[in-house]
Amino acid sequence: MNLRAVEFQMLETSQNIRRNGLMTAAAVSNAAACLFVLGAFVLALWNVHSLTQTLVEEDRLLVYFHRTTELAAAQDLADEIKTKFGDIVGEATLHDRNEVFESFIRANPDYPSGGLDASTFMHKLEIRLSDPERWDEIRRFARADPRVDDVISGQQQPLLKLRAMTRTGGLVLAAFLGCATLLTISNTIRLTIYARRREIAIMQMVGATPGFIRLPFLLEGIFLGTVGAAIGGAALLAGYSSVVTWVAESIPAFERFLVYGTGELAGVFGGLMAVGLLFGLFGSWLSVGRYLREQ
Amino acid sequence: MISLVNVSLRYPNGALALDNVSLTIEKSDFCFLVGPSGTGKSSLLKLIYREETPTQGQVIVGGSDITRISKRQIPLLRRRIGVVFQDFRLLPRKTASENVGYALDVIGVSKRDKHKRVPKALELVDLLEKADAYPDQLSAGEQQRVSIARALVNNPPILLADEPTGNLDPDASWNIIQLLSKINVKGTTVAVATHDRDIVDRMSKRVVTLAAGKIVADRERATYDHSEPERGARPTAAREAGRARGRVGP
Repeated sequence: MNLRAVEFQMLETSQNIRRNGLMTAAAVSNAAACLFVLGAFVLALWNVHSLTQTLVEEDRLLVYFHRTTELAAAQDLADEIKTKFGDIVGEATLHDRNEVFESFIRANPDYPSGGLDASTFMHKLEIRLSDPERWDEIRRFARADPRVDDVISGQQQPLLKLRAMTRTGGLVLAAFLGCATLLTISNTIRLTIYARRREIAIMQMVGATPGFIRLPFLLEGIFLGTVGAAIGGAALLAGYSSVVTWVAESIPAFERFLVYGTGELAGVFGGLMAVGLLFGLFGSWLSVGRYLREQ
Repeated sequence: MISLVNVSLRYPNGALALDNVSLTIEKSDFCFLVGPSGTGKSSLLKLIYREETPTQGQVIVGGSDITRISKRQIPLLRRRIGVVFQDFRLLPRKTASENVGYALDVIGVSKRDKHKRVPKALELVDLLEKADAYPDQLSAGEQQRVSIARALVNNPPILLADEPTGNLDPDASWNIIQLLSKINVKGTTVAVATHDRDIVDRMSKRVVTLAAGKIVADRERATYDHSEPERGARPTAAREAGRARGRVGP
């Protein structure tokens, strides 16, 4: 195919889009609606993931020593853990019983402190994991140590489960939703092909190659997909901003979990545009290919 | 040259459209394919431009057996064959000139070439003054002339016409056939499937008669109803093949 043919095709495509205005509008709104739903789902998924991720990252393994354990012995264990699990320990801070006591008093100023002093408290090792998935390795190691009284693992287990569920379940659902979107766009383009079957028959009769016949539909598919994605994406971001504002105002504690950075939202919009373009292209490729095979 | 050798065509629904047909149309020949509806005239033309593939036999166009060409080569074959239909098949949103130019656009001919060739084709069919008219502004005869111009604009050596006068009044029909004859005189091989008795009789050209998917007569300078072969009739390819094998044809 030469440049002249490509120029002709671009012109034909733009004319077809204009002439079949109603069909174009229907196809664009369809693509916009599909991509809006897909984008909304991805954003919801991202927020759940952000919540679990933040909680997992903020969570600490707390190792409490026996009251009889000396600070030096506790420090030895802290060093052992750092050496043995250096690849998964982000940070390990040992707090002696005085610090633990002061911190308790600070956190609970109204607590009746009569009879309470630092000796009531135990030294505490606070571990932040760089790889939270492997929290249980350290927990088991510390628990087995005679210097340790208890290991508190916070919300690691349920959070990790929830994160895994949102990851795999979300990806599977997103894939299904993606397929549905692709098929919807593909079927919409199929309608535009059937509306132009007479033209296709003439093209075939005068010696157009299948590639030449395919090209305007591919260009149209790209147009429908990207314009649909732009409209769907803009509507999604406008709606999402309102929801985020409402959530942040109603439940301030939730604000830190929300995905609302400009870069992140631009990423969602860009992703939707890319999906619209690819789905438009691939959807029309499928439809034209199927139509030409049926001929 | 076009040659069909022992060709049969059975459609997927089981209907036998052509039954062991052999036919040769020489270069620059003009030939009518006649017979009632459903006798296989259109099917025979479809085999020549590879709209259909025969169930058996060979279809030779310009020296190549087109039953053996790949799908990729079909567009190249069709660029060497102009086809005209009863329903004109014009694009309603394009002018006469654009409809004709469309055949060049889809094969990537340069704009400069296109601007030379389209007016020539329209001039040939005597429609240059209506180049900017849309199909619905043209009479049926004029629309068919645009369709002929489109079929010819790429200078194909072969022109096939499937009931080109089927939608036209007698005068317009005669004009179209005269035009096809004029094109034939310039060297294009023309095959016309028709059951328009009047024009076949008036033209007195070669007439191939089909009945129930078989060629029952093939005569030079014939009329529509003379279906029996007469002395001096053109032998069909089957007869030629029979003679080549030392047998006398029917």
